[in-house]
Amino acid sequence: MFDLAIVGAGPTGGTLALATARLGLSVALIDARNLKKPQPRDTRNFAIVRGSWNLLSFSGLTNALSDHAEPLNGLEAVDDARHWLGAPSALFTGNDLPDTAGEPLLGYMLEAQHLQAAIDAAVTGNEGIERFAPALFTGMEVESGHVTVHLEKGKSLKARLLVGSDGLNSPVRQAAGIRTEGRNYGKSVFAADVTLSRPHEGIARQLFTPEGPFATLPLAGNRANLAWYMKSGAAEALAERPVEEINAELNARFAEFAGEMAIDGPVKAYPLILQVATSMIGERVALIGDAARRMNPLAGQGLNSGFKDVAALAEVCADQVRAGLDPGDALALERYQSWRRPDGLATALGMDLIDRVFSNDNALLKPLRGLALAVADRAPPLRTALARQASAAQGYLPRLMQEPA
Amino acid sequence: MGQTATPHLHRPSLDPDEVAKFTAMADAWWDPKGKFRPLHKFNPVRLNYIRQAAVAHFGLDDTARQPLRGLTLLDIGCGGGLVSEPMTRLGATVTGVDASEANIKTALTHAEQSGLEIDYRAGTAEELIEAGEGPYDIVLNLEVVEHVADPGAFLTDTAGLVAPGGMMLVATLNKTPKAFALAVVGAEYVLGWLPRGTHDWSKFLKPDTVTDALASAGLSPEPPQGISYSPISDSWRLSGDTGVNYMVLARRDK
Repeated sequence: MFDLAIVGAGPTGGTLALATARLGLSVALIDARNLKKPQPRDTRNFAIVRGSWNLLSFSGLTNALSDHAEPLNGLEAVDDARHWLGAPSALFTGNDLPDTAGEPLLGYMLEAQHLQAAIDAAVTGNEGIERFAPALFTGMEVESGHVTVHLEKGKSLKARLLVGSDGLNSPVRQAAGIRTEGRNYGKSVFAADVTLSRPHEGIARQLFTPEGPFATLPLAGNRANLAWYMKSGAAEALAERPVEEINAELNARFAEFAGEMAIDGPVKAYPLILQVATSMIGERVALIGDAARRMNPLAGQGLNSGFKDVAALAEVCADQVRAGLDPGDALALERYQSWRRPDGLATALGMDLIDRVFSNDNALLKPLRGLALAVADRAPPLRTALARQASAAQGYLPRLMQEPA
Repeated sequence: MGQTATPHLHRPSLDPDEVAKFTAMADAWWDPKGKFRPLHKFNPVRLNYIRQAAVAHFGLDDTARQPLRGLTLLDIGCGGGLVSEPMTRLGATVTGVDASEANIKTALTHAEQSGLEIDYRAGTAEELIEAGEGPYDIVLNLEVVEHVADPGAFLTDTAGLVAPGGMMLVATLNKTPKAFALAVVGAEYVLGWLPRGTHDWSKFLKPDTVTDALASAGLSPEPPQGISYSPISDSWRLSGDTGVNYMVLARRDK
């Protein structure tokens, strides 16, 4: 009997396995991938805010990651539109965070394959984690005091709690009968890594254009991960074109903002989706990360919100076990849900609102977003609130995300 | 209560035709959304307090999954086993006693479902003493003393079950107007958390009454520890307010 059976060994599931194993829980980790084979390079990059970095540190990952982590010194937002306020911009740094004053770092940029490689290596060497990989989750049955988790080829295992960290289309969520709601933005993101002709200085920069934002996130070696929001179809069409044409298009539009860019690695286009599970829990089931909510990646909050799920669930389960209680019982799961659902929903909807205000050619909204940036630049409390929103400081922070004493 | 006028200490066995009935009762006891929800909400704070007190008193390894391994524990008035089971998971060798044979059969049914071995006895603490059982390293006297006929004699008797070098924890309700308002009027009549008539305020005890009785029975009681309910977070916390729920930890010298 395991305390936790976690389906999905990605960034949230893998980190949950490592954190709970360190807290003394017994963990089964199930993934369709062979965890000993390296994950191919992809275009995803994560802005890891300090609270999330603290969680990764507790989970034993930061030693392996620090060589690949690019410090994130600030966030800059620039409005492309010209109007009566001039060209407004706002820059946030760690100094805008009240609990980190004097500590300029907002967090780190990490490339997806480095995070995954560190997780794969750490779970493979961990005695507290039994790995079922490659293996497919095929179903579950809730029984008295535990859940039986079925894998392909007739294999099964028993656990107190089944955790779905299995992404947007979460099979665990479906097996638990939990529905989702949300919307398709009718927009897609074009994503790629580029080399830059001028230093990025560790600043994540967003340019708000009428079609949507264009963002560059600083990566190691003076490279950047760029995300260009476009109408559905346009991003996909761009991704199909030859690299030289894409470079020409990028530089014609954004060289003034970002410096000369040259594509380095694969390119990708993916649709923007807001999807929220109607519940983060079921009987002996908890959902974390994208299985619980997929939000607009605008401010890099998706994975940080998922890491808050990880830290909150790990804390709730560890507290149960410390008291001799069952980590999968209904009251514990209620506690997890009431902790995470309002905050996660607020973050998802906040990103949705920002997107609506900023990615719009509406004549009424245009002065509004310029005003928002101008005010943000001049009003310290609002700067702080926005910077806090972009870090992990909002909401009651789980112990594993707090600054180490 | 048992069928006989004077219940005697025994380990009840389940008749095959009773299994369904006690399975249903166990389901009700252990349903955190059911009628025992208040008890389940209250449980973690006192379980943590017991763990913490035992770890400190016996000098145990706080990082261990089963820090209480090797210790014997008596749970007086164990009901359906809401404390006995967690204490067993924390490693203690647990004896649970309850005057209600139905409670004991319910607890036995659930312990089997949980795969836990617990020595459940139908009977009273006094009968354990008469039978020459004990002593125990840890004696838990949780929410019982306010229900017995002679609290002073009960505390003295049960203190006798604490082994040399052992500890006892008494949890009960204070005899204050606030306790009357919250525990009787609030919990039983307004919120409907507990069946009406669960508590008789006139039997509530002031902390001094408890500590004096324990001291005269040869234990060294500590100052009472309050537990308060926070309506905002809908949870219970340790607090400096002993006006309603409180616990007294008492040690016996080696």
